[in-house]
Amino acid sequence: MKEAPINLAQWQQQFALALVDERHVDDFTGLLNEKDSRRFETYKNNARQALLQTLITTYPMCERALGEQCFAQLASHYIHRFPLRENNLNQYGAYFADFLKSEIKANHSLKDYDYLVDVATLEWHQQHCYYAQDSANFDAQALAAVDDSRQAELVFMLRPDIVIMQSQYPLYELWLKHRENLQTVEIPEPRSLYYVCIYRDQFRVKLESLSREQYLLLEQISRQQSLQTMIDKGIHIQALARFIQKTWICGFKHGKQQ
Amino acid sequence: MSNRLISGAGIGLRIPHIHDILAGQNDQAIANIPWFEIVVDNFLVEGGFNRTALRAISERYPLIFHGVALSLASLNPLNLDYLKAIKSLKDETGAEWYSEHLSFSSSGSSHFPDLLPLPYTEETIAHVSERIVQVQDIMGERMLIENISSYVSCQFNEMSEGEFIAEIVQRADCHLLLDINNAYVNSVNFGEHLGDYLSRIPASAVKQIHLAGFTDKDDFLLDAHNNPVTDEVWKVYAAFIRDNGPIPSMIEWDSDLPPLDTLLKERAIAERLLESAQQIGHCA
Ligand SMILES: [Fe+2]
Repeated sequence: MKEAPINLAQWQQQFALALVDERHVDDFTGLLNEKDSRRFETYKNNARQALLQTLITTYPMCERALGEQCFAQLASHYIHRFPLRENNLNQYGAYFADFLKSEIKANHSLKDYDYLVDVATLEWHQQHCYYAQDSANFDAQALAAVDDSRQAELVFMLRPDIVIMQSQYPLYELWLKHRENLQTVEIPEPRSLYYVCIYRDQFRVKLESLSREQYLLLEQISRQQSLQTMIDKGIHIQALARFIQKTWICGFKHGKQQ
Repeated sequence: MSNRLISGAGIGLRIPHIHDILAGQNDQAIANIPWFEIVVDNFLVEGGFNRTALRAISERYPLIFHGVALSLASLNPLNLDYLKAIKSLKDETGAEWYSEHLSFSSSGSSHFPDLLPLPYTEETIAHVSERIVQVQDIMGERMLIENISSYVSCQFNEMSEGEFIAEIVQRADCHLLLDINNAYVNSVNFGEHLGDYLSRIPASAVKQIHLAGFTDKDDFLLDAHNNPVTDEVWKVYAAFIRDNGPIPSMIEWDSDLPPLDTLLKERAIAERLLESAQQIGHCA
């Protein structure tokens, strides 16, 4: 039995360094029993595969659009640039949309994939939506009981799973096509803005197309603006009843009296 | 900790099976599952399907918690928020116990979605034992630590894995989750005698057993949890429970997840072996 010439801190640091940087592999494998030093590759593969799988699960529309190989290549760069920094894999991939943006800018061969930046943002929101907090049902009776004189100060609350997005690309149609499992998705030309709401229904993440008015209303609600403020800003509040009925709005509170 | 609720052969709950389990309550094989182990990390989310499903499962079955992301042996500070979240979910679901792996998965700012092995040294024993005591203080109860499968070993190990585990269990006064497949995989990968390994393990500390399948990579075994339990592992398992009693045991299957039915068949084998171990115990 040899007296250990390395301590636990060195073991952990060198293991970690070798996993993220090829240049440190020999230093670490020098600490291993010779006959199993080749198997260090297994750890590198495991870590890479787990992160790649996480990105594939979170960004399935991007993966299908780019193709398995191209996605894996981009994912590999992403994994190198953004190593796992916390123990929660659900949070891994947060910068993927920004990363895609810079890759598309830098690579002429990716120029047709500009729309995937918004698709990636959509998919990240979908992940948030899937795991978001459950909410209580809207209390319609309490709303009915609010005195007319105090209605203007009401501030409505969006359900925690609701996310709204605007994009130059028809995200709703792209999402539908993906859901219908269509292998080929034509790449759309950027146009005037499209608006969508991402929400959870029976535990499934869904999308709905919004009009510009509906989007602006939900945006103001998400910023916790009072009914009066929204009216003053010229926001169309007609859709409010529909959003309450759809339970996208889960509650209300009294804001400051004006 | 009581074993009142947890006995017999359970199954590691996997999210794609939850629907079949909740919908199949009239199916004898599903109703007969005595308990589930959950990978608690998959349920530390704010809401949605996972949380609702867990509530429904916990109303029907006893649960135990298994964690993968604590990085128990790391030199980084313990993630107290993570442990508190586990404790709170444990209180909410009435889970019987919490287990983690004898490994590390972070160093400084780097984290890895894997269970990395340790050097078997006196220094590691002191550090890990202290960490387990810390975790047990936070959880307010003893935890179970699990032996991992490894592919590399430190050339400066001061002792065998069995001795290493035994010393930690004694110093930290914790329980053991013995993964017989991991012990088997390591014995093949490092050319060691499995009987020696198991004879070092303090059998009285073993509160739970894991069984799983591996993949043969020709020059080593990969603990992929993607196959049925092999005949060799069943044999070792049968001998272990014959000698040490019917310890709660379960099947782990993670990759290439088969239909629930396949897991139920594997569970039935473990259950039969546990019943015969029980009978031997009664005769003795
Ligand atoms: Fe295990």
